[in-house]
Amino acid sequence: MKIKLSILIIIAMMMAVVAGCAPAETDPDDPTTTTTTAADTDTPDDETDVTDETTEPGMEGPSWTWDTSPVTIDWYVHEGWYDKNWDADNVVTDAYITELTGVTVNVTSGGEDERLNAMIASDNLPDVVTLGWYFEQWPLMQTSGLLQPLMPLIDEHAPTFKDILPDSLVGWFTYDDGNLYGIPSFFWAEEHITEDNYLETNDGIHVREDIMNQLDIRREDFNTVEGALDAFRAVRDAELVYDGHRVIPVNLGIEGGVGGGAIRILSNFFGIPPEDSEGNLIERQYDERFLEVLRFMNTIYREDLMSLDNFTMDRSHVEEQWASGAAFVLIDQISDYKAQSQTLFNNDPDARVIGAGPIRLESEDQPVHLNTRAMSGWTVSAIAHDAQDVDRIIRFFEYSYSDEGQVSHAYGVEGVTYEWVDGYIENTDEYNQALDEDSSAAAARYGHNNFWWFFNPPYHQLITRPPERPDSRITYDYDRYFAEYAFYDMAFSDLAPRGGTDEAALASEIDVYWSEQLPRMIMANSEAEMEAIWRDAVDTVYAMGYESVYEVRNERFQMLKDRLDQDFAWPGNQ
Amino acid sequence: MQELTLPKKRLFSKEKFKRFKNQLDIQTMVWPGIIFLFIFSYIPMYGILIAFKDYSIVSTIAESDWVGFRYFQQFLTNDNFIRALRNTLAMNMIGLAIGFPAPLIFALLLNEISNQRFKRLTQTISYLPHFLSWVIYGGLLISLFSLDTGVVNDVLVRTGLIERPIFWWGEPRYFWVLAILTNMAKSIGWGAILYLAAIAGVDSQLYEAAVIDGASRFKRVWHVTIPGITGTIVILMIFTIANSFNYGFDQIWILQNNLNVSTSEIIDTYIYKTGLSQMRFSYAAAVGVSRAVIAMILLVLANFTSKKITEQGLF
Amino acid sequence: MKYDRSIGSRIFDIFNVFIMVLVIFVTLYPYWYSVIASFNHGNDYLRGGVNFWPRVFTLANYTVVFQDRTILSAYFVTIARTVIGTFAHVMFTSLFSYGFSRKNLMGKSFYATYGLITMFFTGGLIPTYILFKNLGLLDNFLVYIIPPMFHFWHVIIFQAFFREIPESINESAKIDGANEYTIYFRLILPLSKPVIAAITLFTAVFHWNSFFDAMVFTSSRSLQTIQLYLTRIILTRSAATHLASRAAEMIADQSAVNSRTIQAATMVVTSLPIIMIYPFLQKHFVKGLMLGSVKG
Repeated sequence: MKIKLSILIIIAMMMAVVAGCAPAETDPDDPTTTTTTAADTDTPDDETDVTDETTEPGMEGPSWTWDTSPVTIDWYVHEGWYDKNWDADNVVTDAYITELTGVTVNVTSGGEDERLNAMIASDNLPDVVTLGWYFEQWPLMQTSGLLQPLMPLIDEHAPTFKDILPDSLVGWFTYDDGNLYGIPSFFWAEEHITEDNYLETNDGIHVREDIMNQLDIRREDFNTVEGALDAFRAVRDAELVYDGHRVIPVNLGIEGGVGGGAIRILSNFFGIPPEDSEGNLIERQYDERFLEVLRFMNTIYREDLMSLDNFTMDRSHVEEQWASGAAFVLIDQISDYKAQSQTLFNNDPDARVIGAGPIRLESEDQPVHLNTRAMSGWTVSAIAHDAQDVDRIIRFFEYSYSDEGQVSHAYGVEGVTYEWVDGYIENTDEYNQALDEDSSAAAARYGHNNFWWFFNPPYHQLITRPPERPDSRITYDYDRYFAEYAFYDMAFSDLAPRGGTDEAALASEIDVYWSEQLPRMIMANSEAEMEAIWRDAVDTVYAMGYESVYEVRNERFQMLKDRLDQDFAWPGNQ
Repeated sequence: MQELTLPKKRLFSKEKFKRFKNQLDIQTMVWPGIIFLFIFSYIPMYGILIAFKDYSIVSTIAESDWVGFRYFQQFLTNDNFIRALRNTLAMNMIGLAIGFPAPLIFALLLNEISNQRFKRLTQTISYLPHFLSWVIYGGLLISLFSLDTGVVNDVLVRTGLIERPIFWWGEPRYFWVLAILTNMAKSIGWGAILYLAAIAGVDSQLYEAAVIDGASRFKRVWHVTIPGITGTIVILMIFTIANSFNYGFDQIWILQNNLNVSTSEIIDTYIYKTGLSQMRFSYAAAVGVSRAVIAMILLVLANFTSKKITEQGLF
Repeated sequence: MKYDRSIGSRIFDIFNVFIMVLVIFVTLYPYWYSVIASFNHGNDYLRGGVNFWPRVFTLANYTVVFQDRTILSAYFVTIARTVIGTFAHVMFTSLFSYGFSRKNLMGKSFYATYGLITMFFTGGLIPTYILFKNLGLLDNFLVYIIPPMFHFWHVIIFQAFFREIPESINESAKIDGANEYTIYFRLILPLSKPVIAAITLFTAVFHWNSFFDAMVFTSSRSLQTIQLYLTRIILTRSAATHLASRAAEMIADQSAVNSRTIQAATMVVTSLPIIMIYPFLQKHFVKGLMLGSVKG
């Protein structure tokens, strides 16, 4: 479930950028907007390149233009919250796309695994299924014979799709049997990443600027462990009260960082490598160097720099605490708290949240590398073996993946909801006015930005401007602050043993055990005790049979590196 | 189950057939339900075989390989499962002692309220929490009982009942009692409905007779009300015992954290963590089947014991 | 009924009222808390401390809940399934239970075992899904009515009440030439109002609250129930907290709602109608109904 959420966040990121498309001028003075200088080279004129090609006599242009007679596709999206209702009679974007391609999508959705399982087990899939690639059902569906290999369909019905489908995407999603069964969304294809793109990371820390100013804490203080700890101590000693809440120096995120955020972030900050010099995977929590992370957290605990409630809070409580301004620093995935940082800022413009650090070990002088926000994508869309009108479906896939489809699905209709200005997408006056009058009515009437199943992030990054609204701006800024450290981490993205295997079962037993031991380490009364608990836990993990799990993970890791044609995946080794 | 008084000579003796013909009316009342259960319960029951096979959704149950009791062995030898088993059982035992009598006592006390308006108001309000999801209710509880900002600690410290705030959700030893008490608070009104209905069904002439005999209030309750609803109490008790290895998932899932997991892990959360998210259907089914078998055995035992002691059983 | 006027009895009354007030507080507060959260500005709510009264009043949460006109059809589907489903369940189950409760029923212990097994052993969802597919119940309104029409637990409760009814009622009717069906409809049903009211309440609440069947067995929007509709809204909104801009498009003041306040509003919208039926059924729990029907 964790990964699901973090991937949702990618959209948040992308969409926040879209939201920023207020009718304002460009901001050439802003140094962080590398995209402003960028996109001129990558204007949407590119799409005409594709349409110029002709493959068969009488069939000019991309394949989705060949046949635009009406057709309906039954389409199941495995996300319970998804409520899109394709309505070509009343919704502007739907009408436009249906007119253009002839396709009407009959969307159904559900989030219950039971339902998807039952549909698979009873061979009752609709024409198209869209689901997260990380669901256990996805590999099963690919082996089941319930899906159609896409490449033969593309060869037969949509040859022009090949021109726009990046090889790295095809390579990454081709299943063990040599077939490609699904087209992904939010996948960062290598071919699409230009110099003007920036990778996004979720690793960072949130710091309250107002409190820094109040206590004379500088941003540089967060560059070292001691500096950061001193800043926390200063906040503790000042016994600050903000808006009636006692300010806690550090919030370690969900369940004291045990949820994974803070642990991964600090491991990255402290430069603990996830890959050894031979190119083998390192699982960092079992590595000697992980003690540095524990020492930091344990100091925070022992010196009373956090609240014990941190260990028993659920997500909404952490969010609540952050939004109410009751903490100075939050160490957790940066995009998980955007709405809360904005809330805080909207209540009190001084209470700005900024990025700081990365916190480094004194002994470490290598550059810091941070993981990206799931660049291997979110969903895949696949075609059922008994689907009707497969030719039209695969062509609709092509349309949706093409730049033209990208823009229509995300921003609506040119001249109605958006227009191109200097190579950037901007809302039209008509649309902005409608938003001002009644935004929910506007969303219902224009109906774009809700069919993300072929979303191509690097492309959208280039054609949208940074947000203008001040509250979106602050979260955008701290996003960008950490972005420069992000590395291309595809090889680390899919290492879990396949569901149903003994290793998968063991891996989850180990995870459960470890998540119970971690708080004990953090809450140890002395450093020696902390270390003893850690050693004991590592021994236990090995005694549980961890090595077999490691082998599977490392094997997968090597396999993914092969697929990416990498010898080393960690920049420190490259 | 006391109708079989005739000696069994032949399967279809003449008397039997005649008796059967004479009760065709009640037999035809029962048959539709029997057919219904056959279609909607018994036909899908081949799914139980999953527990003994290596099942995955991309093959049919018939195609899957037999593995016998492998998955049963797997969970029974797992320490975390044993821990979950212990917690589930312990919470049900405490629940039987505290949670079970609460709605009954509440129903009896409510029945003693003489002001009809107040009585109805109390009853209506008491069942409101039944409609709150555990997500909302649990979130509220976590806040109320939190260490630094919780109202409960605040009140207890101020009134001098405790010296220092208690880490309610972090200390494993508090979990069982907290979970049971909060569950009781949420379900007391809903649980009382059956008792109230049973009390309403008690023949009021019996009360009149008791009043004429000069019985006190307490005696009326003891000698008229309680005997009148023993049947309901016994049924609910038997099923509570039969379900000793079940405890609601939603509540625990919300209140559990990595500090209290040693006492808060129950069978369902254990299965969820180790099984369902990885689609280990056979493993989960093995636990489910074992639980059903144990529940049936406990049901028969409880029913038998109850018949010996109270002369009342399920039927 | 006369009341005992002894001192002990009065002390007990005071104690009893005290207990009831305590129960009222403990059970009312969580609900009240959700109601005020649903009327509170979402952004402000996040700052904590909204305990007894909305601090920044807003109807925005309800605006979001009611924004879509499909809510009306979802209400209609839910009301239809609740009324039809409850009626079908109570009639079908109580008739079975009456036949089953007769002491002279041949094969009773077989029926009992047969029924009890279904309470504990289920085949799981996948065989059920396949069965429904074969019966044509998938994406069909009847999937709300037929499968929940019968449950053996309710049989046990019904027959526990039926067996308390004096046998003399049955005997005197038999002498008058009535068959069991007549006895059931004419005599037993009217005598069993408390248990029928209780089972009606349980079943109606079950129907009102269930969304799993709607989610798994139906796909048409026209068969969406109110619980499913609102579950979707909550999920969409918590997704929307992350999809920050999407929220911005949906309502002008995006900070006025968040997933927790919407959840609270949803809870109020879904629970109020079903809570309303309680007082109507409640009167049957309060007074005894055996009065004067027959001399026991």
